[in-house]
Amino acid sequence: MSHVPLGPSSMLLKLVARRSIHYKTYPSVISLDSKALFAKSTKDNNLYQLLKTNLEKNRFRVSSKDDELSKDVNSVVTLPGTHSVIAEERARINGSAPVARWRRTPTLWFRIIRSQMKTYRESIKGLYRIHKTYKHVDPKPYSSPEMLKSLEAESLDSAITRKKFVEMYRRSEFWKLPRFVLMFFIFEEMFLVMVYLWPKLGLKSALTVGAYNKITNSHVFSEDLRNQMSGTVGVGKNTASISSPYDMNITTLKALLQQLPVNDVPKWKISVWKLFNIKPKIANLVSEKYKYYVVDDWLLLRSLLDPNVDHLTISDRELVNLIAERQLYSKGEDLNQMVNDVTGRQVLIWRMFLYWSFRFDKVDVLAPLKNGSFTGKWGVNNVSILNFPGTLAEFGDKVEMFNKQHLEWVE
Amino acid sequence: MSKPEFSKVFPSKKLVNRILFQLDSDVTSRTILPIYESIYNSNKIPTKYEKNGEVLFLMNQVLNKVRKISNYESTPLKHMRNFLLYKSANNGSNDAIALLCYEILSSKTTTTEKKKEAEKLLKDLIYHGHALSFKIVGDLNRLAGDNEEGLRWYNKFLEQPNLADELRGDVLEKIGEIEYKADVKNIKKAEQKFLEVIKICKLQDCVKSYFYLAQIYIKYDPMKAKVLLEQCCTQGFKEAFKELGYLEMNYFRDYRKAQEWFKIGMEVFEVECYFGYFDASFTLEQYSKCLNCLKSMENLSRIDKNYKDYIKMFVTHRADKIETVVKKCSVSKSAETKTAERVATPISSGKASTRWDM
Repeated sequence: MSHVPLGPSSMLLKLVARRSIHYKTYPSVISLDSKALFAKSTKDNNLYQLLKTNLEKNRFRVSSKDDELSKDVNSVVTLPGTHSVIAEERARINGSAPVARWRRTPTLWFRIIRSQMKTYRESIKGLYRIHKTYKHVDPKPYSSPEMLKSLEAESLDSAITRKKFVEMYRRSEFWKLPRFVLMFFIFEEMFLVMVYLWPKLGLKSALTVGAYNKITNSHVFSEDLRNQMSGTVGVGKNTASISSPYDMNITTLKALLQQLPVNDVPKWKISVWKLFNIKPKIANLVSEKYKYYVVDDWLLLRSLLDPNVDHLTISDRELVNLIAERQLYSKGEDLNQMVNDVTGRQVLIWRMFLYWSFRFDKVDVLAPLKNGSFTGKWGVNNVSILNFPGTLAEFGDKVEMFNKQHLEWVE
Repeated sequence: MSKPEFSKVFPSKKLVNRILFQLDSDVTSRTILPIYESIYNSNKIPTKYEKNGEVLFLMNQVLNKVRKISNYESTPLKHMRNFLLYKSANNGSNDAIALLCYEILSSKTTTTEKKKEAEKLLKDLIYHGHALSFKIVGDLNRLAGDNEEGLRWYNKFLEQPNLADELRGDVLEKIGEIEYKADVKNIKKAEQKFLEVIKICKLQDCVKSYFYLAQIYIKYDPMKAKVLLEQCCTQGFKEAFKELGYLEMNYFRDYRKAQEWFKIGMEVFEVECYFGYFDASFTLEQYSKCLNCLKSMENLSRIDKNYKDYIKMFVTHRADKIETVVKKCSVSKSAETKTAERVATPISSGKASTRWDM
């Protein structure tokens, strides 16, 4: 039998067939193909409209000033700064207090090191304080499954806030300190070079913007993996609506876990699990991380949509961290640079908003029992939406990120 | 028809000893086994123990435990248990009186006079602070549909000193059940109660708590739910088979394990297990098993009208799958027949043919 090439009409038919399944299953997916399609896909998305109104009414703010931040939401001390120490010191040296030209360079480097040391001191102090605060706190109510259960049953203890939740999660950073001190004594000055080369050796809250950028670039969600996972939301051939972590093979699970920014299990451990084919260990870890994202999103949205709260102000550090943890960026993007730029900041905010609009549309974060819960919409540990930005292009065939050129669509 | 021998009907001495040890009793099997035998053979209690209500109630408790362990009770043992309860109540065992009162008050056929008498006795027991009576009043309120009042009495029961763990667990389980069913917002309170129950009771005494906990965890911690459901299944808890089967099939994607759980569920005629078994077998491409399952469903639908409606619904929803199954089975059947024919032909015609016929 001779081979008959597929003509454009049959390709289109295939595409349309796929599309109809896709849109039927996931009405909250947002199209980034054209302004008209974007408007059409967001028209019936109640959460999108609500978030947009909140932003227009200035009920959602991003600030770098500590005194402006919402109290129970931000944990600034656990996150790295968004400004470059080198640029700041250079500006200072060239600015108000002029330094003689011949000693500019040594002075600049002295100040940079002094400033970095100060950051480290603050970071260690902050880590110790958090460790001390949560040392005797029972971690069970703060675990992701427990939190999700409480949120869905509307029985979350009012004392548990987003700040406490993330700090409980980030407090494990304290245990990096002994290793950090030990390595500093062993390698002395060389250790600083080592931290520069492998930024993950350093303390997260003391990272420079360059080191942070290196880390975020190492955690970019690979396009293959993203398409493979979100294949269940219309891209590719898999159109099943729910995909549990056990649906994936152990190699994909390992790859997924290793590139997740919130994963703190060492690579060697995961490799050992894979070697001995202990799939449940890896799958359970992935599902735990999945729930962490859901809870974090839920707590933020709850604060934002609460009618009793006038406005929600998150810190620029938190915004960068939100985007980085959810891998809502492409390779080469400097998130710290973006957050300090007006347009870049808007892009980041809208990425978060579209991500939430996709996941939480038709989920009532304030009254899930009455109007629909998250697990009701997405099923149990549905990893097909893990770190999915909620936006597609090429008529649903490619995962696309919201960018500068799309900003005029949301005005 | 003559009665079977006592030793054939009654559980082993070893089991009785174990139960007595669990009940922390100072009476040994050497004392009570002859009493059981005497009751079994001649419906008489030896004179020495005739008026000893406590020993008689203990014997009733032993039979209760046997029933719980084996999930079965033969008619002679049931008669013996009721006889012992009645006798111990007559001889001053307050626990037996309270239990008998419950039986009378919860029965729909008992006369009003008897009920009034039972009520009076129960009131007297409560007046004297008899712990079990508080639980029984709670049970009666729950039976009447007044859960709030039931809860009040259960809490009063828990305030009593020196409660046996088993009874405490039973009441906590009931409180948990009420909380769980009343409002989803109470899920945490219910969870706490169930956790307490499984901590203080043995698995066989609190299977329901395990099951409810699994229901609570199923959406948020499927691994935990799986372990709990497996525990329920070891005790033959009927509802757990389908839950575990579906969990294995839809979340852990272990279709073979799911098939096994559904298979056990099918043996106790759990209709949803038939549906699960069909789906699991279909995914594993074991079409003949699907067909057999469909045939079993057909037989089942003849027995019960409710099953009939369910199965009808199932068949409508799985029309495509059923068509595939029938098609695949008919293809394989015809292939089998052809192979059989091919194999059979040389044998049948073998005698007549010679090697030159080839």
